[in-house]
Amino acid sequence: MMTYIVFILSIIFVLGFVGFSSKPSPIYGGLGLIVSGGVGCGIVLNFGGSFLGLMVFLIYLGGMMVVFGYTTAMATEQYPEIWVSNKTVLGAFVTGLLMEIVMVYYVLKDEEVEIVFQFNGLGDWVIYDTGDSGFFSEEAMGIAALYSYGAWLVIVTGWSLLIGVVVIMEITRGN
Amino acid sequence: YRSHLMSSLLCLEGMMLSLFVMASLTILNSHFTLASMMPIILLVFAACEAALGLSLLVKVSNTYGTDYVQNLNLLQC
Repeated sequence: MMTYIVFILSIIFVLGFVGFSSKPSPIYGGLGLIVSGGVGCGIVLNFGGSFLGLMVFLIYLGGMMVVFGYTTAMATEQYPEIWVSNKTVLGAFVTGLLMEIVMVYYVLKDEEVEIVFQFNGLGDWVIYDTGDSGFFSEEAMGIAALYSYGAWLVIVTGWSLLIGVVVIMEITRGN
Repeated sequence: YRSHLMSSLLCLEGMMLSLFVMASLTILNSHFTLASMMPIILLVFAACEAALGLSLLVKVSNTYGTDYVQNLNLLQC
């Protein structure tokens, strides 16, 4: 089972996406996005990207989803729609579920699926080990390069975050 | 059946999450070390975008009471 853990996590990832794109009430959509975020972190961790995976948890789930959560609590309705309470939402969810099951069946049967381009079963995603990288993690070094080669990028993103704050204050000022 | 504006913001966040995961996997798999900063920068700009969308939703919700998409009907052409 451990050799197929990425496959199983990716199925749960897609099911979480189907869960919020079938548009139940936003609080339940947020739940689907949290599940997808957690499982997406697991997928990235399995490829050795420990910093990037934990960034998903910290920044994405811990920062952005918390803000979405309390904004939803502010703008919610009296009788929220869960997936089974409305035929439209249930129909969309079941359609997405069926399409995912068909795709999983084809992947397990043939080892490769060709829809628009070719998804190779296990061949494409084996990590190629191009010699040993010593005692440091490549990915952490690449992100640390943000402060040496990517200094201009840091300045631009920092400035755009400050401008974003100013824009939001202007939007919500409204008199 | 009422459509919320919030559902579209959630779908946008889902798109950003899927882009992040796809970019991370491709960069980690091809050992393209220097591009590892790209998913982080993507997340920064996705956070900006989400905050802006939420502030617009707050303004809509203040005017109409709820964030239903049917309420945005000022432009009738």
